[in-house]
Amino acid sequence: MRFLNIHHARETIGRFAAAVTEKPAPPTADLPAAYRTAISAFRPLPVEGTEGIATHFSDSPWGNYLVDNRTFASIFEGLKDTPTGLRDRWKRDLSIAQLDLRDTIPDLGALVDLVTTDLVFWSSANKGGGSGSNLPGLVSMSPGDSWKPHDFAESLVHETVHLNVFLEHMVYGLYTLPAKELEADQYRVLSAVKVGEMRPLDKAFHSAVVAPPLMLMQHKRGETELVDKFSDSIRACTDGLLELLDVFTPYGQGAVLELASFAESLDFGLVERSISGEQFAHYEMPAAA
Amino acid sequence: MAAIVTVENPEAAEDATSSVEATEETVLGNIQAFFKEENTSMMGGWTN
Repeated sequence: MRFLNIHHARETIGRFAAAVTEKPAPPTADLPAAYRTAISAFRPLPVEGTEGIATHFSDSPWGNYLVDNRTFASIFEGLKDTPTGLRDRWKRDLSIAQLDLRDTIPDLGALVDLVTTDLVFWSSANKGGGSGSNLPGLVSMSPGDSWKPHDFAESLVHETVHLNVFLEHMVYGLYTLPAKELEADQYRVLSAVKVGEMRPLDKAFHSAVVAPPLMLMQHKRGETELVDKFSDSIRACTDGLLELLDVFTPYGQGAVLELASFAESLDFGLVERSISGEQFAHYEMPAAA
Repeated sequence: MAAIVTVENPEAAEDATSSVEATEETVLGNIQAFFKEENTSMMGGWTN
């Protein structure tokens, strides 16, 4: 599954940065800085700093922007200020989550470190995470009252994979139709995550891409909740995606076929190879027409 | 993308440069298409 691969993410971000900055693709060591410069061109607020995830709260410029523009509006139900002690606890748990991830699945940790630049914390009645196609690098998160560091890690990986797939969408194209048209009934597919719910094709595809790394993370902790929950729904989702394969570009079709292979096997070794294997690194772009 | 070219073969070098430029143009076109408003898509999972 190339969309999880750290080497491929570096190639994709190199291509993205080269196209946006009109400079040669940077070497790996310079990639984070080049990525941050390039995505800043598309965001209302630039990335500050050259490494790490900057954390923000509702009273920050990012918080104000997202509230003013009703971005992630569902999170604003019961919105309230986050007290200092809770801010410190969330930041500490986020740091622990990142350290644990780098330790247990290093290349997935590296993907998070490369792709996610900003995280906005919210105290909201609704709990969870969000990301947007038009806000590269940015994650929104409303932690649950009983969240442990591994819950922060899962939410961070979940949104990072969305952001990474958005980058691949930007560079290679994923669908033959714009997102608006994919909302039509004939392009709806069962979600892998919102079990039993028919979702527009792009959202169903995104639901499927986040499932394998989350299942792997729980599998490594010896938990089976998500593995049990998603094992049938990811196959139902990929069956629906396969029926609409012609709505995907060649790059998107490759991703769907790889997902379907995982859904069939539930092979966690494949997820690990997908994250780290050099064989998933390079995608040969079709010649321009 | 950085092109690795051989100075001994200027024609091959020219082809490689053209290929890199074509790839960058394709990527730039894809990026511009992506940021059109109808492609805006938000992902999120929230529970009460």
